[in-house]
Amino acid sequence: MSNESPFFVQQTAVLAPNQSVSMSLLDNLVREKWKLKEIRIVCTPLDSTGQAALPFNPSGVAVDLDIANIFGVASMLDFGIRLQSTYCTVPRHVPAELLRSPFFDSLAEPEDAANVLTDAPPQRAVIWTFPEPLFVPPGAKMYAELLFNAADGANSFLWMPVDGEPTSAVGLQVQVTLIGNRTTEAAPAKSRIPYATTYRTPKLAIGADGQVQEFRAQDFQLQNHCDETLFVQRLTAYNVAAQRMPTTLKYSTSQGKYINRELAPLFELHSNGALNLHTILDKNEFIAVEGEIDSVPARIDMPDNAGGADLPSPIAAFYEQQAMFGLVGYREVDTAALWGPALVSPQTGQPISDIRPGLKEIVDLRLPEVRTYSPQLPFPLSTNRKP
Amino acid sequence: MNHDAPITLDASVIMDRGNGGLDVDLAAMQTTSRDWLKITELRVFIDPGQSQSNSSEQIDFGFMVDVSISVGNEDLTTGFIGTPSHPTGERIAYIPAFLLGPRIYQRFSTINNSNAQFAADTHAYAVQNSYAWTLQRALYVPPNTPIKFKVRRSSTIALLDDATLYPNPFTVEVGAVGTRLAVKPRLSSRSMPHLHAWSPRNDDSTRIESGEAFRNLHKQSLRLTRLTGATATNLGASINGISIDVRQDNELTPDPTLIQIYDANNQDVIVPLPPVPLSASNPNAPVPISSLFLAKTNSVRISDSLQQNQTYRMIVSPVAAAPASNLLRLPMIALESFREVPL
Repeated sequence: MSNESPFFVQQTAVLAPNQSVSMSLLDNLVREKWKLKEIRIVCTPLDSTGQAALPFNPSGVAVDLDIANIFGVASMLDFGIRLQSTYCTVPRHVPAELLRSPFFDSLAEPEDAANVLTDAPPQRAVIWTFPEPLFVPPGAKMYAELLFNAADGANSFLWMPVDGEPTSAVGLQVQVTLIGNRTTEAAPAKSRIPYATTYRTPKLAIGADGQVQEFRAQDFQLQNHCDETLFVQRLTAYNVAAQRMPTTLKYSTSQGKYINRELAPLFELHSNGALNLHTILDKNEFIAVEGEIDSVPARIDMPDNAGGADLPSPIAAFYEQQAMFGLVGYREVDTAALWGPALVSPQTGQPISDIRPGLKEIVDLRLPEVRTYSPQLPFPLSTNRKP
Repeated sequence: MNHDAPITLDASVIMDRGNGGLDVDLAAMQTTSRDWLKITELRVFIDPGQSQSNSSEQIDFGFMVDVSISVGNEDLTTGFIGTPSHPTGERIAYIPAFLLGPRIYQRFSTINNSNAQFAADTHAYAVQNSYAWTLQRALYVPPNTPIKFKVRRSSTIALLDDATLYPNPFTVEVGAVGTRLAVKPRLSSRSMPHLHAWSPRNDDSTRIESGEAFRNLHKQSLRLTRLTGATATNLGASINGISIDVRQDNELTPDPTLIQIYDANNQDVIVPLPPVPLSASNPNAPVPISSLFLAKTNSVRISDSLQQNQTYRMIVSPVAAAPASNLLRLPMIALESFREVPL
């Protein structure tokens, strides 16, 4: 038999605005060793019919909201991962849109495709690829933290139906899928665990002519909050109104050295969402970002809807805008410290990892807790700027 | 020739609506040199040439063209596709072009609308689609071994096809990309790629095991490398007064078809957990195909093996369309693999 057969775990959540849930994605599920490769997050806004819009509801078909523009839907889902007691996202949630791994699915950017004009996608999917396959021992616990961010997110101005009034989602359906495979390999000494943190600008109303908002991230916002050195893979940025809104920005390091010298347009620095950095941040080091958001849409990029009622300008769908920035990377931790000692089967007394791989057995959920943890949170937050 | 050189082998055919399910044999692709070839990618490019409608929808022509690829006597593609005459599946050598891999290229162009149903001199969008099967291991082709493509208008898509709307004719180009080797490679074996496609019809609520399981009939073990999935949909709704669109639809209109996949040990590949919050109308059910196979990327890398006579199985549980809708869906999944063949 194969020792590496694929294994996908999926869980679905339906969230009301401002509701947060913790998904127990791996909780004593199997007595197998895993390697996780990526997480897939699919967000579907739900209309006022609520559950009837669920894709798997036997009485209904797919959500059909007739939405003019909802490509910000993944920006109103805040998403986090927790491994045992270790958070991979600081704060606890990061806008899912910022976690997207660069891939050629940037082709799917609706504003570049004609489909945004008549039949925008009701879903928005994000694939967060792990820096390397993450070893997961039997019985390990892994949680997905979800928040439908209606307070700080974009939902209040997210979309406008083609022929209607602005609409907010009354619910958000989220499907989280872990993609991995079984393995017989021994646990590596070190594990690279993903890390992400975020900064959001305040909201700015669209259309107030001449109004320019300056923003600057606090030092602790795009910071390495961990004790370990952080390997930064990429900076991500997203303007919830439109990637081509006139947002200009400048990145610099915690030593004050610039990454880009002059204010540069967001869509230029982040043409496919990500700015690959491949750098290292020591403890408490950070990336600074400052810039400006202009309240007037870039009309030359987004021609208004002069031609016909069924071709609304994407800009017309929004009243406010907000820029989001993410820092995505990984850190290396001791695998043993991350997951704790091996779980022992109460039936046989054997370490569970010795049970024949591939044999799926549900571990008794009332199993006495034998792990010891080294809680990683709260992280010390520092605003000290290094010389 | 005394050094390796890049090479592409191309052939094209203009397909007419009238030849529907006929095979178009591109034997012209047979290699004539006495050199070994190292093929790394197999491609299909579809150019509709003229408008299929006056809509700006992304029509995916990968559903409208079936492809069969063989090297020497070896079929690289097999399939098991539901058809009107064989609702639970018919064994075929063709697979839809989009199952070769992600659509790597798509170009919109505005063209003069020559479709008779539209007013003269109006303009419309056309979409060219390019699909590439990037091989996990290079395919070494001995001298004078034919690389053969066959293409045909999809017979299954007739289910979704509206004869008045799709272009007639259109161009299909096929190609193999790789290197012409100066010297015979020193190999003890060579990798033979394979794609197997499943698809049941999905215009009712019948739970279907997709034809038959994929079985490894070779002595060598198969290395499984990728699962690809997508759904062709007839939108059912009319846009600008016209019912159109067969397209890859995972993201645009999420396909609620539920899928289960069983590996060689008959274990679930996909494990659905109880939803949050738990509710009776939100049961713990197999996962929708659209939540796993995302638009554009539409595939998942896997790493598994299949010994002789072991099988992979797929079960789909179609979800009935709402009464008001006349949606037809054709979910498809492909399994990519290769095996090492001793020379």
